[in-house]
Amino acid sequence: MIALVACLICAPSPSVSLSMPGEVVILRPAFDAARVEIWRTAPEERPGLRGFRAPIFDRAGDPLVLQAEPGVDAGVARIIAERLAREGLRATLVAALVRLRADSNGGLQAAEVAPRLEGAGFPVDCLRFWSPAGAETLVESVWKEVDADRPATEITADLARLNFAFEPTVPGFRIVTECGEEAVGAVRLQVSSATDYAEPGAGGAMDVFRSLARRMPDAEILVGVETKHLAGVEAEARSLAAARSAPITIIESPLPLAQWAQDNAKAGIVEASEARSVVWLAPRYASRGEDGTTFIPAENLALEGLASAGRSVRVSPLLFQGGDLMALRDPTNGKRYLLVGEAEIARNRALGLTRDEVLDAFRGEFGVDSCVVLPAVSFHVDLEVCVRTNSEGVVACVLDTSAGARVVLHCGVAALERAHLVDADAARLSDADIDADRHAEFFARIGPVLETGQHAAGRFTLEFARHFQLGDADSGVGNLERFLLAIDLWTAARIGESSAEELGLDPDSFAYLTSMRRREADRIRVANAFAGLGWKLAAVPGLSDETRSIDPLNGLHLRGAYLMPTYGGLFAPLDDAAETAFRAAFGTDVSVERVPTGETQRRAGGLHCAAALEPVLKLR
Amino acid sequence: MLTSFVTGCLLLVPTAQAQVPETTQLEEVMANVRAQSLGSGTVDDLALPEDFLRRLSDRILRRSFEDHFRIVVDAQVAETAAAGSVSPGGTAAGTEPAAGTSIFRSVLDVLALLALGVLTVLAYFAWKARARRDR
Repeated sequence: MIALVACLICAPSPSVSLSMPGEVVILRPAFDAARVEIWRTAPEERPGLRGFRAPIFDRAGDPLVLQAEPGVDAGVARIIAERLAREGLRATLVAALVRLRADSNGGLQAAEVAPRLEGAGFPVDCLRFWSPAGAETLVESVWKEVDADRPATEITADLARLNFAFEPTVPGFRIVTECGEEAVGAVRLQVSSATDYAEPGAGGAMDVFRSLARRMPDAEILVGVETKHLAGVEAEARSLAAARSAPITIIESPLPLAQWAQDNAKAGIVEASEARSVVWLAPRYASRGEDGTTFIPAENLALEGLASAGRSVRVSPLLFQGGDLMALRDPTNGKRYLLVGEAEIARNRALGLTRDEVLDAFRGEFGVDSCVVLPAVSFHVDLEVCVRTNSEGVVACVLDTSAGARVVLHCGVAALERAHLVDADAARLSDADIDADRHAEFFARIGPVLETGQHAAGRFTLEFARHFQLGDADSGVGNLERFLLAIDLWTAARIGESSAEELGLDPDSFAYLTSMRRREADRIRVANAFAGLGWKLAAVPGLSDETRSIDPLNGLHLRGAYLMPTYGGLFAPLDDAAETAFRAAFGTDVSVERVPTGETQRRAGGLHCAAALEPVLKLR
Repeated sequence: MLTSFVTGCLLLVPTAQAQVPETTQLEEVMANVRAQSLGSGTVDDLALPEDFLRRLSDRILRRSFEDHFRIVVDAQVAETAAAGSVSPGGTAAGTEPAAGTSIFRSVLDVLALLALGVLTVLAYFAWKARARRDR
């Protein structure tokens, strides 16, 4: 096993806990060089071995193997891959063992069975949730029966009667709620580059770091940084440290990190006897993607770096992405809920758990009373909803894309007027068209202007895009894309049930617009689900469309404050509208504070995606 | 009225002559997602629920459309691209697909043409080698 040695460059003591307030601590975890080279060249890919677990911490000595070895137990591996999600772990176990026995011609020792299954991709570790009473594991007992020629149907029927009993990785773990009831003790970030994309204020990773370091001077900031960016981040940290009372701890990563610290671990509080502690629960392997689960080497290795900062990190047998999980406590009934994106259910069904078993496992693993599964309207739930609680109950904020699109359209018209591409009269009339939903008239005025900005249909010139830039920190390209998105959302809302033929649209355009309509219908389903739980709904104007988003919901709830991600620049009026909506929803007890995230949003993320909060431990 | 907007401002691709049912696009993307390679099998092995598969396929469909028809391209790059490549229909790559042609299918057409080109070259060399042997 590779030992981690935290080397403190700037602090006199080797212990993080002894670091002085306001200082900057640099941690350089001593990863084994050969291991790092293997991880560096490992591709980001979906493991073919369904039972794959990240070889980190106590498994650090295991080889990094994501795919089955060609020609080795190929038939067994195929059975596992084909049946696991459809038939579940137990039925697949029987089928795989029958095949393994046939392929090995009776020459297999009992002790060899589990490793062979694991090598073929079977998540053997998950079988412990059904283990029958006694000393034998499920693999051992089923192998005996298979080896004794008992019919597979009978064995499967017997296994089906076993009860699922999930064992939490950390008994007593309760995921931290994200509804504004916890005081923040630390903020975990990953800074993907030490330079601002355009300049400070553009809203990239460095701006998020600066904003949170200034806003929470008494919360430790833990920052994961790739080696080549470390000096730049350290210099910034030292300039920030003077006004802070808590340390900034920079953790070197030998591999390039993405900005999304939210996704590779969720913080929770563990209460045992009289002691309380914070534990970070990591998934089976840190990942991205929806159509399968893509292993991201750097995000996994970063967890060992987090541990080197004195944090307790434990690895769950479950798969999850942190941005797709959000916990809250409803003060009206005291119940703890976990909002879960449907992708997380699918991810764990691929491990051989049924939907009910996944929900049971999530409840047990994260210490909640109930899971609320949400459709994947965006790729993570934190792009579609944020929740806050007060004495009256839960306020669920959802996106009002039609209001968001209207604001964006007004801003776009103003940009065209500033560029003298439309005159004041045309701009005024266009604004009136937007407000009165007269889109044909709007396009009669604005359409020809958009036409002049194109090389070909839908391909715009850089020169034209620059008209949409408002200041050096703004992005003309990103803004034009958002203006076009707003137009498309407006159009999609207008097409009703008409067919492509009736509208005279080509199939691609029609498919695009109707997909937007389906997305809006899904948003309504989400809102209805919250209303059904008795939660108050608050519609906040914004857009969520991956790299074309202006999403004010992807923020952080603190006690007494909501840190709202802003886009700024040309679309600052949309930030204003969102802030107004939040203030109305949360009341005067909650301040709404802005964090610039324009560049972060242009990379399909936001403030919540970039920051994971650790609670203050209250003494009992 | 909507049509005049759509075609009038050229924001969307040209009006189709031969229409394809709308569901075809989504179904095509869903089929492509299912068929993606995953280990020794495909994503279909994951048995993703149909609703979820539809939503993520919708996302792919939108991203693909936006990447083709809602983009900003530097003028010089666009000119170079247009001059440098030719589509199966003989039109420059910078122009839009012919009316009614799916952008997804266009990609397949290009791949098919490339494969044909490779086969032609291989056949030429095989013929040359055989001709040399015959001498």
